[in-house]
Amino acid sequence: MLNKDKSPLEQEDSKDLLAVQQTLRGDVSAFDDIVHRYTPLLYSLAYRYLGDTEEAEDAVQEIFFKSYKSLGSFKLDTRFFSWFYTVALNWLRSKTRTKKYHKKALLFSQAEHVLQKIPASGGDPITEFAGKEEEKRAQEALAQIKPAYRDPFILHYQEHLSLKEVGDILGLSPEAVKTRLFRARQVLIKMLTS
Amino acid sequence: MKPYRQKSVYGYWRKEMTCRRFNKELKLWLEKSLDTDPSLKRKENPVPEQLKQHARECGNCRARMETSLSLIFPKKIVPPSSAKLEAEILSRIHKRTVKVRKFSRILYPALASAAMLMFAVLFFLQVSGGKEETAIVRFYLDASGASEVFLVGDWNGWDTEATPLIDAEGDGIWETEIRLVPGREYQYQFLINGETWVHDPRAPFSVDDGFGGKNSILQL
Repeated sequence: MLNKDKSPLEQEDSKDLLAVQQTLRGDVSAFDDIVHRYTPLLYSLAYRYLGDTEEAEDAVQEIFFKSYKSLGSFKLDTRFFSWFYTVALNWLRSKTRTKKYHKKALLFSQAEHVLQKIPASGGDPITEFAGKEEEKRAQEALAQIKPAYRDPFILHYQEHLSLKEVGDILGLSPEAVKTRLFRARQVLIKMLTS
Repeated sequence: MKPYRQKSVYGYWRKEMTCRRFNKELKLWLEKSLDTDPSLKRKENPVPEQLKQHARECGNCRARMETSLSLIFPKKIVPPSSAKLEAEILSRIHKRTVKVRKFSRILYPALASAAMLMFAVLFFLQVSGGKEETAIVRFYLDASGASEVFLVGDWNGWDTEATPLIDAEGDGIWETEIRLVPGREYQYQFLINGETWVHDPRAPFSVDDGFGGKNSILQL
Protein backbone atom coordinates (compact mmCIF):
# COMPACT_ATOMS: atom_id res chain seq x y z
CA MET A 1 0.00 0.00 0.00
CA LEU A 2 1.44 3.37 -0.96
CA ASN A 3 1.62 6.13 1.59
CA LYS A 4 -0.52 9.09 0.61
CA ASP A 5 1.76 11.48 2.54
CA LYS A 6 4.62 10.75 0.20
CA SER A 7 5.55 13.08 -2.64
CA PRO A 8 4.83 11.92 -6.23
CA LEU A 9 8.53 11.17 -6.68
CA GLU A 10 8.67 9.12 -3.48
CA GLN A 11 5.51 7.31 -4.48
CA GLU A 12 7.08 6.43 -7.83
CA ASP A 13 10.16 5.19 -5.99
CA SER A 14 7.97 3.07 -3.71
CA LYS A 15 6.16 1.61 -6.70
CA ASP A 16 9.48 0.76 -8.34
CA LEU A 17 10.80 -0.83 -5.19
CA LEU A 18 7.66 -2.87 -4.68
CA ALA A 19 7.78 -4.08 -8.29
CA VAL A 20 11.45 -5.05 -7.95
CA GLN A 21 10.86 -6.91 -4.69
CA GLN A 22 7.95 -8.81 -6.17
CA THR A 23 9.97 -9.65 -9.29
CA LEU A 24 12.84 -10.94 -7.18
CA ARG A 25 10.38 -13.09 -5.24
CA GLY A 26 9.33 -14.69 -8.51
CA ASP A 27 6.30 -12.63 -9.52
CA VAL A 28 7.33 -11.92 -13.08
CA SER A 29 4.29 -9.83 -13.92
CA ALA A 30 5.48 -7.23 -11.38
CA PHE A 31 8.22 -6.30 -13.84
CA ASP A 32 5.50 -5.24 -16.29
CA ASP A 33 4.97 -2.08 -14.22
CA ILE A 34 8.63 -1.18 -14.53
CA VAL A 35 8.55 -1.74 -18.28
CA HIS A 36 5.42 0.36 -18.64
CA ARG A 37 6.83 3.22 -16.57
CA TYR A 38 10.30 3.34 -18.06
CA THR A 39 9.80 2.52 -21.75
CA PRO A 40 9.11 6.12 -22.89
CA LEU A 41 11.95 7.53 -20.75
CA LEU A 42 14.41 4.92 -21.90
CA TYR A 43 13.44 5.29 -25.53
CA SER A 44 13.99 9.03 -25.38
CA LEU A 45 17.43 8.55 -23.82
CA ALA A 46 18.41 5.84 -26.30
CA TYR A 47 17.28 7.92 -29.27
CA ARG A 48 19.39 10.86 -28.13
CA TYR A 49 22.47 8.62 -28.10
CA LEU A 50 21.80 6.55 -31.20
CA GLY A 51 19.72 8.87 -33.38
CA ASP A 52 17.76 6.12 -35.07
CA THR A 53 14.27 4.82 -34.30
CA GLU A 54 15.01 1.18 -34.94
CA GLU A 55 18.28 1.19 -33.06
CA ALA A 56 16.68 3.01 -30.15
CA GLU A 57 13.94 0.36 -29.96
CA ASP A 58 16.51 -2.44 -30.03
CA ALA A 59 18.47 -0.65 -27.33
CA VAL A 60 15.39 -0.36 -25.13
CA GLN A 61 14.78 -4.08 -25.43
CA GLU A 62 18.38 -4.98 -24.70
CA ILE A 63 18.61 -2.65 -21.72
CA PHE A 64 15.40 -3.96 -20.15
CA PHE A 65 16.57 -7.52 -20.67
CA LYS A 66 19.97 -6.77 -19.22
CA SER A 67 18.53 -4.99 -16.20
CA TYR A 68 16.12 -7.86 -15.64
CA LYS A 69 19.02 -10.31 -15.69
CA SER A 70 21.01 -8.14 -13.29
CA LEU A 71 18.14 -7.33 -10.97
CA GLY A 72 19.81 -9.44 -8.28
CA SER A 73 22.60 -6.87 -8.02
CA PHE A 74 20.20 -4.01 -7.29
CA LYS A 75 20.46 -2.84 -3.68
CA LEU A 76 16.99 -2.47 -2.25
CA ASP A 77 17.98 0.52 -0.11
CA THR A 78 18.80 2.63 -3.19
CA ARG A 79 16.64 4.24 -5.87
CA PHE A 80 15.71 1.95 -8.73
CA PHE A 81 15.48 4.95 -11.04
CA SER A 82 19.21 5.75 -10.60
CA TRP A 83 20.29 2.13 -10.88
CA PHE A 84 18.26 1.61 -14.03
CA TYR A 85 19.59 4.74 -15.69
CA THR A 86 23.14 3.71 -14.79
CA VAL A 87 22.62 0.33 -16.48
CA ALA A 88 21.13 2.10 -19.51
CA LEU A 89 23.97 4.62 -19.78
CA ASN A 90 26.62 1.91 -19.52
CA TRP A 91 24.94 0.01 -22.32
CA LEU A 92 24.56 3.08 -24.52
CA ARG A 93 28.14 4.17 -23.89
CA SER A 94 29.50 0.81 -24.92
CA LYS A 95 27.25 0.83 -27.99
CA THR A 96 28.36 4.27 -29.11
CA ARG A 97 31.98 3.31 -28.57
CA THR A 98 31.85 1.25 -31.75
CA LYS A 99 33.23 2.67 -34.96
CA LYS A 100 29.85 3.35 -36.51
CA TYR A 101 29.03 5.99 -33.97
CA HIS A 102 32.40 7.64 -34.05
CA LYS A 103 32.70 11.30 -34.41
CA LYS A 104 31.82 13.06 -37.58
CA ALA A 105 33.10 16.55 -38.17
CA LEU A 106 30.58 19.34 -37.92
CA LEU A 107 30.56 20.84 -41.37
CA PHE A 108 28.65 24.07 -41.32
CA SER A 109 30.21 25.05 -44.61
CA GLN A 110 28.18 22.32 -46.31
CA ALA A 111 24.92 23.71 -45.04
CA GLU A 112 24.26 26.05 -47.94
CA HIS A 113 21.37 23.92 -49.16
CA VAL A 114 19.25 25.00 -46.22
CA LEU A 115 18.88 28.42 -47.84
CA GLN A 116 16.35 26.85 -50.16
CA LYS A 117 13.92 26.11 -47.37
CA ILE A 118 14.06 29.41 -45.55
CA PRO A 119 10.58 30.36 -44.43
CA ALA A 120 9.10 33.83 -44.29
CA SER A 121 10.31 35.97 -41.40
CA GLY A 122 8.38 36.50 -38.18
CA GLY A 123 7.74 32.87 -37.26
CA ASP A 124 8.54 31.08 -34.02
CA PRO A 125 12.31 30.48 -34.08
CA ILE A 126 11.92 27.05 -32.61
CA THR A 127 9.60 25.80 -35.30
CA GLU A 128 11.15 27.98 -37.96
CA PHE A 129 14.62 26.59 -37.37
CA ALA A 130 13.68 23.03 -36.61
CA GLY A 131 13.94 19.77 -38.52
CA LYS A 132 15.72 16.46 -38.86
CA GLU A 133 18.96 17.89 -40.23
CA GLU A 134 19.71 20.11 -37.28
CA GLU A 135 18.71 17.40 -34.83
CA LYS A 136 21.26 15.17 -36.47
CA ARG A 137 23.88 17.90 -36.39
CA ALA A 138 23.19 18.55 -32.72
CA GLN A 139 23.68 14.88 -32.06
CA GLU A 140 26.96 14.93 -33.97
CA ALA A 141 28.08 17.89 -31.90
CA LEU A 142 27.29 15.99 -28.70
CA ALA A 143 29.07 12.88 -29.99
CA GLN A 144 32.25 14.91 -30.26
CA ILE A 145 32.52 15.81 -26.61
CA LYS A 146 33.83 13.46 -23.96
CA PRO A 147 31.27 11.10 -22.40
CA ALA A 148 32.10 12.63 -19.02
CA TYR A 149 30.59 15.90 -20.26
CA ARG A 150 28.10 14.54 -22.76
CA ASP A 151 26.21 12.33 -20.30
CA PRO A 152 25.36 15.07 -17.78
CA PHE A 153 24.48 17.44 -20.64
CA ILE A 154 21.98 15.00 -22.16
CA LEU A 155 20.50 13.99 -18.82
CA HIS A 156 20.12 17.54 -17.52
CA TYR A 157 19.42 19.70 -20.55
CA GLN A 158 17.66 17.22 -22.79
CA GLU A 159 16.06 14.70 -20.44
CA HIS A 160 15.39 17.41 -17.84
CA LEU A 161 16.67 15.49 -14.83
CA SER A 162 17.68 17.48 -11.76
CA LEU A 163 21.32 17.92 -10.78
CA LYS A 164 20.80 15.51 -7.89
CA GLU A 165 19.26 12.87 -10.13
CA VAL A 166 22.09 13.22 -12.63
CA GLY A 167 24.57 12.98 -9.77
CA ASP A 168 22.94 9.83 -8.42
CA ILE A 169 23.07 8.19 -11.84
CA LEU A 170 26.66 9.13 -12.56
CA GLY A 171 27.91 8.69 -9.00
CA LEU A 172 28.76 12.38 -8.63
CA SER A 173 27.82 15.14 -6.23
CA PRO A 174 25.49 17.86 -7.57
CA GLU A 175 28.46 20.26 -7.48
CA ALA A 176 30.54 17.92 -9.61
CA VAL A 177 27.63 17.64 -12.05
CA LYS A 178 27.51 21.44 -12.24
CA THR A 179 31.22 21.56 -13.01
CA ARG A 180 30.84 18.99 -15.79
CA LEU A 181 27.88 20.84 -17.23
CA PHE A 182 29.95 24.01 -17.25
CA ARG A 183 32.73 22.24 -19.16
CA ALA A 184 30.22 20.67 -21.54
CA ARG A 185 28.72 24.09 -22.26
CA GLN A 186 32.15 25.57 -22.90
CA VAL A 187 33.13 22.84 -25.32
CA LEU A 188 29.81 22.89 -27.18
CA ILE A 189 29.64 26.65 -27.46
CA LYS A 190 33.18 26.76 -28.78
CA MET A 191 32.30 24.08 -31.30
CA LEU A 192 29.18 25.87 -32.47
CA THR A 193 30.65 29.33 -32.78
CA SER A 194 34.20 28.85 -33.98
CA MET B 1 23.30 53.84 -48.26
CA LYS B 2 22.80 54.19 -44.54
CA PRO B 3 24.40 51.25 -42.69
CA TYR B 4 22.03 48.78 -41.11
CA ARG B 5 22.02 49.30 -37.34
CA GLN B 6 20.56 47.03 -34.71
CA LYS B 7 20.74 46.58 -30.98
CA SER B 8 22.92 43.63 -30.04
CA VAL B 9 22.63 41.32 -27.09
CA TYR B 10 25.46 43.31 -25.54
CA GLY B 11 22.90 46.10 -25.12
CA TYR B 12 24.51 48.66 -27.40
CA TRP B 13 24.14 49.51 -31.05
CA ARG B 14 26.17 47.88 -33.74
CA LYS B 15 26.42 48.45 -37.42
CA GLU B 16 25.74 45.50 -39.64
CA MET B 17 25.51 41.83 -38.79
CA THR B 18 28.35 39.85 -40.31
CA CYS B 19 29.01 36.14 -39.93
CA ARG B 20 31.81 36.94 -37.50
CA ARG B 21 29.54 39.09 -35.40
CA PHE B 22 26.80 36.50 -35.66
CA ASN B 23 29.14 33.94 -34.09
CA LYS B 24 30.03 36.30 -31.26
CA GLU B 25 26.43 37.09 -30.50
CA LEU B 26 25.35 33.49 -30.86
CA LYS B 27 28.02 32.58 -28.33
CA LEU B 28 26.68 35.14 -25.86
CA TRP B 29 23.14 34.00 -26.40
CA LEU B 30 24.13 30.34 -25.92
CA GLU B 31 26.02 31.12 -22.71
CA LYS B 32 23.03 32.94 -21.33
CA SER B 33 20.52 30.30 -22.44
CA LEU B 34 22.42 27.33 -21.10
CA ASP B 35 23.14 29.03 -17.80
CA THR B 36 19.49 29.44 -16.85
CA ASP B 37 16.92 26.92 -15.72
CA PRO B 38 16.10 24.74 -18.77
CA SER B 39 12.37 25.17 -18.23
CA LEU B 40 12.56 28.96 -18.06
CA LYS B 41 15.23 29.82 -20.56
CA ARG B 42 13.05 29.92 -23.63
CA LYS B 43 10.84 32.64 -22.21
CA GLU B 44 13.61 34.53 -20.49
CA ASN B 45 16.07 34.50 -23.29
CA PRO B 46 14.43 34.66 -26.72
CA VAL B 47 16.58 34.44 -29.82
CA PRO B 48 17.69 37.99 -30.70
CA GLU B 49 15.93 39.29 -33.80
CA GLN B 50 19.17 40.25 -35.57
CA LEU B 51 20.44 36.68 -35.19
CA LYS B 52 17.26 35.29 -36.69
CA GLN B 53 17.40 37.76 -39.54
CA HIS B 54 21.01 36.97 -40.38
CA ALA B 55 20.32 33.23 -40.14
CA ARG B 56 17.58 33.59 -42.73
CA GLU B 57 20.08 35.10 -45.15
CA CYS B 58 23.17 32.96 -44.51
CA GLY B 59 23.21 29.18 -44.89
CA ASN B 60 26.22 28.54 -42.64
CA CYS B 61 24.97 30.73 -39.84
CA ARG B 62 21.53 29.25 -40.16
CA ALA B 63 23.02 25.79 -39.69
CA ARG B 64 24.81 26.98 -36.54
CA MET B 65 21.61 28.42 -35.19
CA GLU B 66 19.61 25.31 -36.03
CA THR B 67 22.12 23.12 -34.22
CA SER B 68 22.18 25.45 -31.23
CA LEU B 69 18.40 25.47 -31.02
CA SER B 70 18.25 21.70 -31.23
CA LEU B 71 20.66 21.46 -28.33
CA ILE B 72 18.89 23.98 -26.15
CA PHE B 73 15.30 23.16 -27.03
CA PRO B 74 15.42 19.44 -27.77
CA LYS B 75 12.23 17.95 -29.08
CA LYS B 76 10.34 15.56 -26.89
CA ILE B 77 11.06 12.06 -28.12
CA VAL B 78 8.41 9.38 -27.84
CA PRO B 79 8.51 5.85 -29.20
CA PRO B 80 6.50 5.43 -32.42
CA SER B 81 4.50 2.63 -30.80
CA SER B 82 5.02 2.41 -27.07
CA ALA B 83 2.48 -0.39 -26.57
CA LYS B 84 4.07 -2.56 -29.25
CA LEU B 85 7.54 -1.96 -27.87
CA GLU B 86 6.41 -2.81 -24.33
CA ALA B 87 4.76 -5.99 -25.60
CA GLU B 88 7.97 -7.05 -27.32
CA ILE B 89 10.04 -6.41 -24.21
CA LEU B 90 7.63 -8.28 -21.95
CA SER B 91 7.36 -11.15 -24.34
CA ARG B 92 11.13 -11.54 -24.29
CA ILE B 93 11.36 -11.28 -20.52
CA HIS B 94 8.44 -13.63 -19.87
CA LYS B 95 9.81 -16.13 -22.33
CA ARG B 96 13.05 -16.10 -20.43
CA THR B 97 11.34 -16.24 -17.07
CA VAL B 98 9.10 -19.14 -17.89
CA LYS B 99 12.21 -21.04 -18.78
CA VAL B 100 13.94 -19.96 -15.60
CA ARG B 101 11.07 -20.81 -13.28
CA LYS B 102 9.37 -23.75 -14.81
CA PHE B 103 12.36 -25.52 -16.23
CA SER B 104 15.11 -24.19 -13.98
CA ARG B 105 16.89 -22.31 -16.75
CA ILE B 106 16.49 -24.88 -19.45
CA LEU B 107 16.76 -23.27 -22.81
CA TYR B 108 15.33 -25.91 -25.09
CA PRO B 109 16.85 -25.53 -28.50
CA ALA B 110 14.82 -24.18 -31.31
CA LEU B 111 14.82 -27.56 -32.97
CA ALA B 112 12.19 -28.70 -30.48
CA SER B 113 9.65 -26.84 -32.56
CA ALA B 114 10.73 -28.44 -35.79
CA ALA B 115 9.10 -31.81 -35.93
CA MET B 116 11.12 -33.07 -38.82
CA LEU B 117 14.35 -32.31 -37.10
CA MET B 118 13.08 -33.96 -33.95
CA PHE B 119 12.38 -37.14 -35.86
CA ALA B 120 15.86 -36.98 -37.24
CA VAL B 121 17.29 -36.70 -33.74
CA LEU B 122 15.20 -39.60 -32.48
CA PHE B 123 16.27 -41.65 -35.43
CA PHE B 124 19.88 -40.80 -34.72
CA LEU B 125 19.44 -41.78 -31.08
CA GLN B 126 18.01 -45.10 -32.11
CA VAL B 127 20.75 -45.96 -34.55
CA SER B 128 23.46 -44.77 -32.20
CA GLY B 129 22.53 -47.39 -29.66
CA GLY B 130 20.06 -45.53 -27.44
CA LYS B 131 22.26 -42.58 -26.54
CA GLU B 132 20.38 -40.40 -24.03
CA GLU B 133 18.56 -37.29 -25.15
CA THR B 134 19.95 -34.08 -23.71
CA ALA B 135 18.68 -30.58 -23.17
CA ILE B 136 20.64 -27.35 -23.27
CA VAL B 137 20.71 -25.58 -19.94
CA ARG B 138 21.90 -22.02 -19.63
CA PHE B 139 23.48 -20.72 -16.43
CA TYR B 140 24.33 -17.16 -15.62
CA LEU B 141 25.73 -15.33 -12.64
CA ASP B 142 26.15 -11.65 -11.88
CA ALA B 143 29.78 -11.50 -10.73
CA SER B 144 31.11 -8.04 -11.52
CA GLY B 145 34.83 -7.77 -10.89
CA ALA B 146 35.48 -11.51 -11.16
CA SER B 147 38.40 -12.57 -13.33
CA GLU B 148 37.14 -16.12 -13.87
CA VAL B 149 34.02 -18.08 -13.01
CA PHE B 150 33.48 -21.83 -13.33
CA LEU B 151 30.33 -23.89 -13.12
CA VAL B 152 30.95 -26.92 -10.93
CA GLY B 153 28.38 -29.66 -10.49
CA ASP B 154 27.77 -33.31 -9.79
CA TRP B 155 27.28 -34.11 -13.48
CA ASN B 156 31.00 -33.72 -14.07
CA GLY B 157 32.25 -35.05 -10.74
CA TRP B 158 32.67 -31.52 -9.32
CA ASP B 159 35.45 -30.72 -11.74
CA THR B 160 36.47 -27.14 -10.95
CA GLU B 161 37.88 -26.37 -14.38
CA ALA B 162 35.64 -28.25 -16.78
CA THR B 163 32.97 -25.60 -17.39
CA PRO B 164 34.07 -21.96 -17.53
CA LEU B 165 31.53 -19.15 -17.77
CA ILE B 166 32.27 -16.17 -19.97
CA ASP B 167 31.49 -12.49 -19.61
CA ALA B 168 31.11 -11.83 -23.32
CA GLU B 169 29.63 -8.35 -22.99
CA GLY B 170 31.98 -7.23 -20.24
CA ASP B 171 29.00 -6.30 -18.08
CA GLY B 172 29.75 -8.60 -15.16
CA ILE B 173 27.15 -11.18 -16.21
CA TRP B 174 28.89 -14.51 -16.71
CA GLU B 175 27.12 -17.13 -18.80
CA THR B 176 27.49 -20.63 -20.12
CA GLU B 177 25.39 -23.38 -21.68
CA ILE B 178 25.77 -27.10 -21.11
CA ARG B 179 23.93 -30.23 -22.17
CA LEU B 180 22.26 -32.31 -19.46
CA VAL B 181 20.01 -35.32 -19.48
CA PRO B 182 16.41 -34.42 -18.53
CA GLY B 183 14.43 -36.23 -15.83
CA ARG B 184 17.13 -35.92 -13.20
CA GLU B 185 18.14 -33.65 -10.36
CA TYR B 186 21.53 -31.96 -10.36
CA GLN B 187 23.50 -30.05 -7.73
CA TYR B 188 25.92 -27.27 -8.57
CA GLN B 189 27.77 -24.17 -7.42
CA PHE B 190 29.81 -21.43 -9.04
CA LEU B 191 33.51 -21.01 -8.30
CA ILE B 192 34.74 -17.44 -8.58
CA ASN B 193 38.44 -16.66 -9.08
CA GLY B 194 39.33 -20.22 -8.08
CA GLU B 195 38.56 -19.68 -4.40
CA THR B 196 35.06 -18.37 -3.69
CA TRP B 197 32.19 -20.84 -3.86
CA VAL B 198 28.75 -19.36 -4.34
CA HIS B 199 25.35 -20.92 -4.84
CA ASP B 200 23.03 -19.72 -7.57
CA PRO B 201 20.98 -16.87 -6.04
CA ARG B 202 18.22 -17.49 -8.56
CA ALA B 203 17.85 -21.22 -8.00
CA PRO B 204 14.57 -21.98 -6.26
CA PHE B 205 16.01 -24.87 -4.19
CA SER B 206 19.31 -25.53 -2.47
CA VAL B 207 20.82 -27.95 0.08
CA ASP B 208 23.74 -27.74 2.51
CA ASP B 209 26.96 -28.76 0.84
CA GLY B 210 28.51 -30.07 4.05
CA PHE B 211 31.18 -27.37 4.06
CA GLY B 212 29.09 -24.50 5.38
CA GLY B 213 27.80 -23.50 1.96
CA LYS B 214 24.89 -24.44 -0.25
CA ASN B 215 24.50 -26.48 -3.40
CA SER B 216 21.89 -25.15 -5.78
CA ILE B 217 19.48 -27.71 -7.14
CA LEU B 218 18.47 -28.00 -10.75
CA GLN B 219 15.49 -30.21 -11.50
CA LEU B 220 15.16 -31.16 -15.14
